[in-house]
Amino acid sequence: MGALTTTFKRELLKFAPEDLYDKQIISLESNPRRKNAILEFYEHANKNNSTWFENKSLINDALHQYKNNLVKLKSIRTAYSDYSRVRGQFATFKRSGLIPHNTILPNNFGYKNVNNSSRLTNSLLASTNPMSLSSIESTEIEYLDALEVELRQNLELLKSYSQKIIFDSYSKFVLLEELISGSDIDKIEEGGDHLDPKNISIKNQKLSYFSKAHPNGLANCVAYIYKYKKRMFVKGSFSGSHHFYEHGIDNVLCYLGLSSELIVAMMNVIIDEIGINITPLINQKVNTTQHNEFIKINPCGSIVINTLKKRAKIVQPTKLDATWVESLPDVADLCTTEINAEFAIKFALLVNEYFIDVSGENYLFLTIGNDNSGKGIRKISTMAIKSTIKKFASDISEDLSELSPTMAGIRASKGVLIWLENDGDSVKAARYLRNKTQTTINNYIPRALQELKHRKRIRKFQSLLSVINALSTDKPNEYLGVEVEEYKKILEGFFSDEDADGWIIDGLITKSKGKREEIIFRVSQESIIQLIQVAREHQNKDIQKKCKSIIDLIGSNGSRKMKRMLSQANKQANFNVKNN
Amino acid sequence: MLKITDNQSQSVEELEAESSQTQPAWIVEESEGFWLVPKAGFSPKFNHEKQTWKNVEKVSFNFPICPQSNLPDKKWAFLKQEMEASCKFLIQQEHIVKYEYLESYIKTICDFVYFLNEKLESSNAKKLILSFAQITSEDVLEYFDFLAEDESLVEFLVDLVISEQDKYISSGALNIELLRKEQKISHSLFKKIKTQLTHKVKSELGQLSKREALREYPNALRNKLDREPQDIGKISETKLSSIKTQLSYLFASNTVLNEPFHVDIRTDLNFTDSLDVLNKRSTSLIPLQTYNYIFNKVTWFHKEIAPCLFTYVQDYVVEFKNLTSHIAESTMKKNGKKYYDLCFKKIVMPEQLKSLNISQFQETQTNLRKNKDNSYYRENLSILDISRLYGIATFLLIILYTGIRDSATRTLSRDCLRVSIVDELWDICFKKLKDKDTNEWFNELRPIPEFVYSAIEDFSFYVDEIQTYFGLDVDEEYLFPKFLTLSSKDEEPMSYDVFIKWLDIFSDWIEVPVTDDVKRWYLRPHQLRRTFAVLFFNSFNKRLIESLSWMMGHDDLDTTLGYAKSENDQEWQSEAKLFLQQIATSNDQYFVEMSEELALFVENIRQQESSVEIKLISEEFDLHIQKFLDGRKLNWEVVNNEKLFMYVEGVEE
Repeated sequence: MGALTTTFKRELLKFAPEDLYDKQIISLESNPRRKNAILEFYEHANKNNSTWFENKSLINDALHQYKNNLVKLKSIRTAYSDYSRVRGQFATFKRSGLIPHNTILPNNFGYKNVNNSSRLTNSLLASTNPMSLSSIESTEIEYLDALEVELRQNLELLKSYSQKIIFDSYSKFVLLEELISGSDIDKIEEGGDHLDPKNISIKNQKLSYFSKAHPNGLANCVAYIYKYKKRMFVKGSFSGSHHFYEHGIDNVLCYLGLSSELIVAMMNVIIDEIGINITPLINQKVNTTQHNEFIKINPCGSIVINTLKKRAKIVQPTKLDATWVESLPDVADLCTTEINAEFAIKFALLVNEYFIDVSGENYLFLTIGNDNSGKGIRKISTMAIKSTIKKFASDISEDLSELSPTMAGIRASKGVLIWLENDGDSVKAARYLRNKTQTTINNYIPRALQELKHRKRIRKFQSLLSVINALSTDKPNEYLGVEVEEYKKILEGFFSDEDADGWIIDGLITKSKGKREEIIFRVSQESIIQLIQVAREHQNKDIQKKCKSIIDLIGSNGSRKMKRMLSQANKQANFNVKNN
Repeated sequence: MLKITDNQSQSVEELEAESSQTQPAWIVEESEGFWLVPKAGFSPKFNHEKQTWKNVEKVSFNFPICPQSNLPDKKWAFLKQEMEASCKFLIQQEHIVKYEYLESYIKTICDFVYFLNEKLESSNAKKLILSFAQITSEDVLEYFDFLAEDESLVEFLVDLVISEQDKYISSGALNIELLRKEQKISHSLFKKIKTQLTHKVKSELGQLSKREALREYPNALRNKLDREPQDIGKISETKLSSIKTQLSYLFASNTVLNEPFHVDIRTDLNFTDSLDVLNKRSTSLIPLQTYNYIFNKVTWFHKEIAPCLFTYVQDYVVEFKNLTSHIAESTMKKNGKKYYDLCFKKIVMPEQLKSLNISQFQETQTNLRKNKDNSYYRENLSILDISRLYGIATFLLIILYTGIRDSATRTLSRDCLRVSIVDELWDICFKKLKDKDTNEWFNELRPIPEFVYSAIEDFSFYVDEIQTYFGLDVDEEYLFPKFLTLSSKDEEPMSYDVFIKWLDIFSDWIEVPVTDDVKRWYLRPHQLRRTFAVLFFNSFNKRLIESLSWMMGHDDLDTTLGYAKSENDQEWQSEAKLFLQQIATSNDQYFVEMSEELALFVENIRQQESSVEIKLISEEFDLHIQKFLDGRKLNWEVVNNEKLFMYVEGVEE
């Protein structure tokens, strides 16, 4: 029972009532999360009234006081979590009959209060903080444009740097065989002490095969680990191991497998492209697990990744189309900018193949540890990722380094960038972030930015309203109080606005004089499936629009049979997407 | 069926002792039959002069619990204690957020207990319900069955009353008690059908409510109770689910009963057929033509009437002060009327106001208006009346352009205008209730067009001016102060009822076009809010919903979607489309007149936009397709080597 220290138990015994103590210890052993909050509660309750647990209203009072006190001492988010733990604990007591079953437990703080401050701790890669509008000095359009440019630039810098690292590692990785054959691998074990009798240093000593001064030093290091040490490097486990540091561990290991730099670069490329959250990415499994989490390369070269979102308890599939169907290209044929998520994953699988076999670990991103525990292969740690991405930033530029990027920040920035690029389309941003639209709006896109967009749209709509009503009068320009010339401009803007294409606006311009087209759709199960597919994927916007309006018509005006066909076809189409 | 639980061990004294121990602060005053609680969004103030509380609402316990006995009676002391405890619980647990809602909860529970008691009485049981602990889930199910039962009785009773009018109707009102006794109907059942019955009888007899009587025409909007004949006697699903929620509150809050209560209205209860499913209707949409008419009239008021009204009133006030400065207050009280007329005749009325038939400054003879409908205002208007109409016009203007809630609009303060720090354009600042504990307000800023900004600014100056005239302090808070009604001079904003009354007058005054069946649309603020949402949604082709959501102040997008959907209002849609077409056609001429260039431009857009008519056919139709086409040439749209749909191009109308 390691979860609780003796000191903690002693403290608990001091404050917690006897009746509750045993149960309390049991539940804390199984779930020590926020154990201090519970201790604090007992302490607080005892301080005010030593008989607080005697009846239900006293318990209620104690909880109330504790809750109110929390807000004064801690931030609302911490207070929320603390109180939630304590309240949960008392709900357990209530269920098990340790306190009266009709005790009223005060509710937690409102969700809205807690979430007001939004989850934008993963700060954007931008020099101005878009959290509060009061900080913005330039006008709204300029600010949005500047932010968009800045985000794009920073993300692009990080991405191209990552691509370069992947490219370098890849070119080294393909050289592995060559390197080993050129090394002195057959002679190294001869002496037992890994010293080369033929190479004498200036101090008249035998040089180690691994030494940097040795002409084949690096090749020998790589070859030795590859052949004798199961591709793992464990510090001090063989003579001459200290020479590895002369080359730099990463420099040696990158010929063999995954250095943390390479992993972070790969992650960056993947996140930039498909927006998988960093935590699931660290935990991404290769072979199918009980949660149906896996990475699969289809015969056609496309990749299917099933990612587990732990808290949401769902598995999200992603499909990546194939650029390299058979195998990864030769270094000479590869261009740095071509490196994408598909390449990163395939490369990671390639180098991982051996390690997964050896270690039995099932992670996509395995790194070779150099710790003393002996077990050298494990999934990459969050700390390593944090420090590596910081190193990237400082290598790239000072400005970027000041923004201290994190992986979560990169993802959020990309989400905001997509949102900005698509004129505030939250659905597109949500699709990239793999969230619900509501989550995206609440947690990812800064409120202030949203408000800028909202204002723009609402003001546009308000002027639309004026124009619609002006059109129904005899003298619209007088109604709007503008000159004829200006009125013309307003109308031009009104009719050619791309956003305003709903039937309210269309109704004002689409008249009998226009070209009329008649579409006849033959409804059958197959034809609807095809229709749905075309509506989703077809390049031609016009055809897409027509298909969508046919689907709308079936949904609203079709017979019952047709509607049933539509819903079945919809399921079928979704199924097809998953399977491809 | 009924059970006395063993754990009903607490005595009244205990319960009392407990409740007094934890008397919450939000109960401002406690009395035998009621509580005074803070009005949502206000902090209660004690008026020492009148020894009364301000900004409070009364939550009454005075509901019948069995025939001839109400809840506050001594007999039910324990039940009342339980009820109080339950109310406190609900507030504490935030099941009920606004204190004043407690009353409807109490009423529902009392009705329910009444039903049980009556049943017990009729079965000659000795014990009535003395504690909630006696209630079981079966009772609830039984109650729901009773509620949802189809009542053909109403029809029968209506016919009966109409045929024997002399007997049942005395001085215009229905003698309900007599009817009940004669027909031997149980109290509970009668309670359920009472509203419907009286309404039906009234409409059969052609009686109108006070508000209806004032209207020039009948309301074009179907009344809530005015249902299809086959739906008469049915309880609406909305009503039923609210009763369900409130009963589940009782089970959740009852300290003695801990039995969970689960009733799914649709599945558990076997009366789906009798439910008026369509009844869950959303606020009606204003027909676009009517909407447009109102919109234009409101704008007209602000552009044409308001400026001269303002100068006129300014002149009047100056003149009036000159005239009366040497007169003592007591004389003014006695003979003031004569000075009003004197002054009114002296000031020249601007041309624009002359057509409005303004005959006096303020009502000197209120009885003239008695027994006259709203059309009176078109013939005889006082300056004060038009000030109220000005208020309504401003109120409508704000909602038309922003769609904010009517309560938020009514409580706007006079300094509600801002220049946005975000985009340096115009903003309106309204108050929203933050949370009930502190009764705090917080400010929400929403954009408005420049025109609305200046209109509100003008109106607030105008209100200041009128206030000076009445000798009130100018530092009043609200944009729509109560004094416009002259009923009271305190600082509260105009009440909803007064607004509604004047909205009706406004509708008649601007003569909203009557429908084909000679009815007029009397608009309500919430209809404007919904219409705003629907227009936005359909202007941007069902996109940008999050912006709409922000504007409407919703927490989640689903609520907004509920507002903005217009699929269930097919009638409205087709009417709107027709109207838009009318506008477009009528503007053709105008475009040409104005400039050829513009006409060409509009024409160009029309060329690009081709209208598509879609027809769906089933597979069997294949054989007759040629016949169907009437000899026109048919093309296939081929996508990915497969035939997708057929189209006939270039059909000229």
